[in-house]
Amino acid sequence: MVFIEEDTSPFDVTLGQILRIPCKFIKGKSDAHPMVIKAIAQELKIAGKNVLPVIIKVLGEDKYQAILNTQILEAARQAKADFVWCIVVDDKMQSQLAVESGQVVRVNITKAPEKEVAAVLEYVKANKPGFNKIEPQKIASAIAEYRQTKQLTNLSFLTKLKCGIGKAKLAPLADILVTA
Amino acid sequence: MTSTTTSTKSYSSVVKRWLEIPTSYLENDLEANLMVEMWRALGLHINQVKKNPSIGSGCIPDWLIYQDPSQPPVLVIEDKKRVKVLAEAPDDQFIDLCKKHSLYKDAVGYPVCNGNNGIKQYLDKDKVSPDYLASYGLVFNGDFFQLWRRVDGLVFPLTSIQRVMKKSLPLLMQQLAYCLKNPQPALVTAVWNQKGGVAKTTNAINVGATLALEGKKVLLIDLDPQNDLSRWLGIHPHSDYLVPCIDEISLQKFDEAKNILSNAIQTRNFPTTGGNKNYDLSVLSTESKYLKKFRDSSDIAQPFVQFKRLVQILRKEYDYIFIDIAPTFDRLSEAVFRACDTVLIPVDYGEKSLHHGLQTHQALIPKLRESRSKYEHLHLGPWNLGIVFSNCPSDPGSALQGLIDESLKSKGFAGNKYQTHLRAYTQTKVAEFKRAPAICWQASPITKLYTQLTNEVFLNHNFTDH
Repeated sequence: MVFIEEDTSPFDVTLGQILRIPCKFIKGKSDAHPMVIKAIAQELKIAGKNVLPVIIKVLGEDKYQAILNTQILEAARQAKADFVWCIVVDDKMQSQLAVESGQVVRVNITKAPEKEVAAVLEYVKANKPGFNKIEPQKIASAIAEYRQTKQLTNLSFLTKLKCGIGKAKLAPLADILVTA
Repeated sequence: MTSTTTSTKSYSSVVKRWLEIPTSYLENDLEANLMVEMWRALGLHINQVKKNPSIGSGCIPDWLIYQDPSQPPVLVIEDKKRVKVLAEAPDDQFIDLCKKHSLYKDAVGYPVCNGNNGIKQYLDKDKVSPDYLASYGLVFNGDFFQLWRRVDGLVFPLTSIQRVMKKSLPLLMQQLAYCLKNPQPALVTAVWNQKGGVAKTTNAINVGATLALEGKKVLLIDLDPQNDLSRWLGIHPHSDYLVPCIDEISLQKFDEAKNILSNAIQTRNFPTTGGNKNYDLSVLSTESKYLKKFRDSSDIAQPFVQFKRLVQILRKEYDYIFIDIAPTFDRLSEAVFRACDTVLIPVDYGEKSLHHGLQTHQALIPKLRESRSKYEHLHLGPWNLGIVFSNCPSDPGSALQGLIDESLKSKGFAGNKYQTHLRAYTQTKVAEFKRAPAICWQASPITKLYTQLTNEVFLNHNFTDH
């Protein structure tokens, strides 16, 4: 059955609120261990409702992509549930979510003190693969010096400092050292 | 309508042709080179299209379109030449220019000069013989288009004025295809005033019953948590249909949703006094707690979209659907306003009900339409049926009548104001105790008034564009 004169916008979905969404309209797989999925599925069968919401994005009408807590979606499918409780987010909320969930640390380099920038970079150096050769203090000092005379719009000046930042690192670094 | 690759392709051929035609183009050329292509794309055969038929009282539209040539036409069309002033108008001025332009006004049939012939006249059941009376009307000039709908005597816009564009033309074609396949879906009407006690439920029941007595298939939906409509008609509300049905709809299980609705609908046969006529009224109702569940649940995704789809399922089964809602603007009433075609506003002779009635007419309904237009690019509502004076004392007295008229004038009310004033008769109260519509008592004066009102609003020619 197609409702041709309907053409309601697929984006007419409330963001940031827990909603029941049909599992079959959500794409997404989990890399959690099958034992974990099975355990969650058993829990969902008893509770009938997940406490931790699946975070999803709208792809189109009745089309969503799970971006977080995908293990719950997979378990709901395994439990043969029609619905799973989700929070729909947009790009901006997804970016905030990346910070909230600890996937990303972020510092505003136009405002943050040099010490704080260095501390964030120390954390990145220790925890983020591929960043083990960066020199946090050197980078933080360079930023502090640069922003005294010029406006910080991009980080390409770091590539000339021999501080472990090459061109390839600029894009991932821009997610951490933000200018707004 | 099912969108197939073929039809999409055909519509692109219409768009291609439209892009080729000049911005100044004679009516005959537009018909021969664009509109004929539109009919071809809709897959219409030669016997489904009639050019310049005489349909009665000097009415000669440009086209009649049939689904089944042995039945009355589905669509009547008035087209006009294409002119540069509209074709080249900036987007932000286009609608206003159209509204003022004689080509648009002529096509709709707004009074421009004497003997005007437009959609308003071609859908007028007093002017056109039943064999030629279409369910939908289209005005078109290659730049503007607007669809109109007729349900018995009532004529109202199905869409606002739209500009023909690469994006909107395929939508128009899809809508035309939908109209051809669904010549008479139910008219869905909400009876509402934010002021309580103005006979919303009484009117929904008795206007519905009057139409049912006329042979129409009528469904009353009781969405007021007070369940007054169901109690009046002796219906015991069904267990929860609303949220389960919404769930099936959100899972796209439409057959299951339809089954839930069919099981929840209760049909009662009512006899009438002084005659052999009986009539059926169908009622869809559920207990107050289940209505509140839908109203208050925060986790239903897209509740308005799903409710609209629920109403869409019911449209196929009935001629008229009346929805009774509480006099508050909550999720239930908003869902109804986002799904219905028309709103009838009962008012009494009091200032409060008139104030709230006019607020609904002049502010709420246009605002809802504007909000719906963001998501509904073509089919649009709700439209105002107008105000109906209800619960009236037998004689208001000239002083009160004068004050009411003055108030309407000072607030610039330009909508329909029905001649029939429904008076407060004891028969209505008796009917309530007897669990039947008041119109079952055929000799009662209230029955006569409801018959008059139903004729005025729905059965006689009644044009609204508010």
